[in-house]
Amino acid sequence: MGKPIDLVQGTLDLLILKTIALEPKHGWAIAKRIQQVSHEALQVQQGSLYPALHRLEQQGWIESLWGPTETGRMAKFYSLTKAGRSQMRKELASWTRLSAAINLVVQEA
Amino acid sequence: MRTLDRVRLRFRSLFRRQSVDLALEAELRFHLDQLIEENLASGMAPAEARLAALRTIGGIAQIQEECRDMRRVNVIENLVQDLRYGIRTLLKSPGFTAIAVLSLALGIGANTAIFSVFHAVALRLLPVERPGELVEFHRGDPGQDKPGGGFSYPLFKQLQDESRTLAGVAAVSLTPLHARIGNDESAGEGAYASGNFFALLGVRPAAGRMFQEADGAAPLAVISYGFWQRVYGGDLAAVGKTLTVEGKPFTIVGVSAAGFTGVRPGTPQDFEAPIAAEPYLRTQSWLPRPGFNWIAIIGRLRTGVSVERAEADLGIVFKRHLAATSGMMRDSFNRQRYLSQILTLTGGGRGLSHLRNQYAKPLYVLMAVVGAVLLLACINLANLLLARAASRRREFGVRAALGAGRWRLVSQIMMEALLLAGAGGLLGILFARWTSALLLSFLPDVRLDAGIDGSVLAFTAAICAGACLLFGFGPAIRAAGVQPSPSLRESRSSGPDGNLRAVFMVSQVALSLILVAGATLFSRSLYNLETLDPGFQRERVLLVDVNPGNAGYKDARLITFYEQFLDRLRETPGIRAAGFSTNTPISGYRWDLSASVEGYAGRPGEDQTTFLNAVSPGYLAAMGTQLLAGRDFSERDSGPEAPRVLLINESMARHYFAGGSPLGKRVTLGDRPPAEIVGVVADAKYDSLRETAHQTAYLNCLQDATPHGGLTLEVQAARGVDEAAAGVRAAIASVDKNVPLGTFTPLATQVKRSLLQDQLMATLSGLFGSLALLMACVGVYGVLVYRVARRTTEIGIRMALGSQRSGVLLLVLRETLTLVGIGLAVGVPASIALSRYAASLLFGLKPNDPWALSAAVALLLAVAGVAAWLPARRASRVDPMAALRFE
Repeated sequence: MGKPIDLVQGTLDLLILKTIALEPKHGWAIAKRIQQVSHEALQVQQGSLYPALHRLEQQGWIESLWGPTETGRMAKFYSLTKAGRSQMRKELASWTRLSAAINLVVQEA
Repeated sequence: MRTLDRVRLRFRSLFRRQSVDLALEAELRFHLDQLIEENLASGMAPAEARLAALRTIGGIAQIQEECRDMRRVNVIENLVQDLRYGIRTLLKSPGFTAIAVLSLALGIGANTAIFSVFHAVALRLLPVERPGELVEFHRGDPGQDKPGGGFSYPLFKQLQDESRTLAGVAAVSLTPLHARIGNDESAGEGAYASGNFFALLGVRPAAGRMFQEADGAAPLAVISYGFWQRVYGGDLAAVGKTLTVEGKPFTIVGVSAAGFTGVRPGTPQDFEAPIAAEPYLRTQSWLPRPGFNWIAIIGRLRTGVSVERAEADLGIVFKRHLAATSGMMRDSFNRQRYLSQILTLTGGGRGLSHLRNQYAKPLYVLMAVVGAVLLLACINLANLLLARAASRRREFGVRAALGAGRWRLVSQIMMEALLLAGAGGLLGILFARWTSALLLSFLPDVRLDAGIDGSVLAFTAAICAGACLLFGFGPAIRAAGVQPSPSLRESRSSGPDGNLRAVFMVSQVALSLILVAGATLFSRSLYNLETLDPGFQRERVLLVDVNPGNAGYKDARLITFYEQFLDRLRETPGIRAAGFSTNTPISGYRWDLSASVEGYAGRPGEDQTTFLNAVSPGYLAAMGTQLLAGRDFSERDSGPEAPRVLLINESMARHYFAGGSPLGKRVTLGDRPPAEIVGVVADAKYDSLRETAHQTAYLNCLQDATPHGGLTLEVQAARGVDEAAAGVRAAIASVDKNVPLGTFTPLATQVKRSLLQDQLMATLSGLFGSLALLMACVGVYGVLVYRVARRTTEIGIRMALGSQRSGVLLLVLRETLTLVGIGLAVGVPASIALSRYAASLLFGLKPNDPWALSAAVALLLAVAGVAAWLPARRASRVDPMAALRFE
């Protein structure tokens, strides 16, 4: 496992949206999940995660609900709204385009 | 839905800040606990696990703050904070706050007041349907910029019948109708309106119905909503009641919608009666007379028709009418002039333009004046705020050091400015009510509702915001430029805003010079009008209407009555002279005819219009008008058998007899029998004090009985006017106590009425000019105090090096003079350039009148000198040791 990669600007939103697309998760679980799925390559800093969550909520793409965790503690669970789902699709599409384009350039060289 | 949610969220975060903050804290603590648990699971000791977790998570407070930023709560919260802070700071320096709010209130109030009147006079739309489609008809000589004049009924009918571009043409009379309520003969003032008037305007009834074309000549009346409330208490039973108009009964058929008071701003109508009913009131109806222009016409454009097209279409009808009726003009000059008249249409949505034409210009000038006053107030405030900002540099430095951003500082100062402007605006609205009442008191014939309505409030809010930007922004930017460290260290020397202050001072001097020069111009103009020799005596002359016709006198008996009355008056002590006349000067009534003079061959098309008055023996003496040659009328000229004689004025004598004697020559006026000139009198003002003398002839009013039997009596009091009035009453009682006398009016009052606009301009520009001087004085004083304080060290060094106190005094005064000089150098040409716009309002002097300008310059220099004296003296008293030790 190398050093964690810095997130590309603007991709955190996409990661969060994608991570909670299946089921509502709290902040800790979102951070963990991103770490796990990326095989520890992506580390989300708390300092950026929570402001991002609050911004997304403000924009109406996610909504939050307090609920019990597996261990019985109360935590704030974030889930995707309808607008959030379409936003995710948009960002996904543009990400795919971007990474494909970068790949093309990189492989050419 | 989404937006609503978001708003709800933001409000929740704003007002239930505590609970939101708690939630945020709980959320972050949960995260922290999870981290600690993870660390524990990996085998750390509890204390170490906790520390490691805290290290990983970083500053919790920062995250919280950032989350709050994300919710965009901070913007609003900061504003609320600034607002509270601003109120606290302002309350902490009540002196500054009071001065600031008061000067803003004066500036904003004056602007609001003038605007509210201007709005009522020139901007407000009539409360009718689609006012934008309405057009007003004007007739006038080509090339005249202010068309005016009424229309005759036959012309109106022709325009109405033959128009193809208008959806309708309606008429309203310009002569007033009076309604009697109880004993009050003129409790209501109304007008005739054509049958289609209400339908054309789209005015609906508030009760009953409006009269219409189909009502024909029935004596009906529609009363206004205000009149209905005032006189009938809004009782529905008013409909169907009888309204006594000019002594005859009219049936009230309805009440017009609230807010509608006719189409003449400044002359609200209490009722309208059908114009077709006019013959019911007038024994000799004006309806068939093409020479009687007593009607105003409005029309509504068909959709898609431009004003120009309608004007072209109706212009043809108008010309056709002129051609068909020009036969009534007797001489070729007037016939030509009649035929050359043109018809113009202008937008009529704001009502008939008479009041606008009369007062728009003075109001424009006043708007400019009060605008300048507000600008002065803003500059003063900017100055004060700048000084405060300078003395608060340390405070701002501390705030900047504690992490306040540039924009936080700006927004805080702007909030203070906004608070000041808001308070000033509120107080200003109160002040405006008083000022607009004062303004309207100068327009006694104008009944205007210049209340503070929505548009006026919008204007006030706009100028408040503008003022706030103007005086707040500069200081705010300055303050925001504060660097934390140097400002914490530095004391009082140096500072970048000295130049800005100099600019402020120069512009204040220039602005107030313009205002003071304007005030001087207007008061000199008024002085000129009040002191010019009008060719008659203004003081101690009383006018009173006498109407023996009402007591049954006519023909020879009428003449005998007047002669007896005159004889009695001559013997009455307290009366120096007395005479009668049909017209009085500066009354607004005019009588003219075309003259043909024996032995004078006029050029073709020459203007031989002669102004007329018919007077009795004694009139010249009573009025103090000089007889230059020949004789006054006497008893032997009275009666229809006496040879016809007349007097002419100097201008007429000069025009027709250049050098030769006019005495004994014969003059024919209009279709009157020829009369012989027996005397020449001095020129006297006829219509207005501003006019150059008209050619005027005086007929003898006792030679042929006047058609209605009534005349105006002029008496010149030997001592007091009250004694003279008592004498007149005694005299008429001894001749015939059944002959009614009207009310006594001093001639001076009648003349003054024509000067109301000049008085208005002189008073208000004087008022605002003084205000401007005061503000400039405060401004100059403030700037100098500041500059002297800034230079204390320098002055101390100068004095330590041997400079005398008088030298320091001169230094400060010289500097002041330089700045004031620059201000004057800017102000004088600006004043000359600007006052040219007011030239038409001035009398007897040019806008660049050197006296007015020098007076203004001298006044400003004096004021600046006074304002500079205290700071200069303070500078000269600086103790060199103290000044140097301070650093």
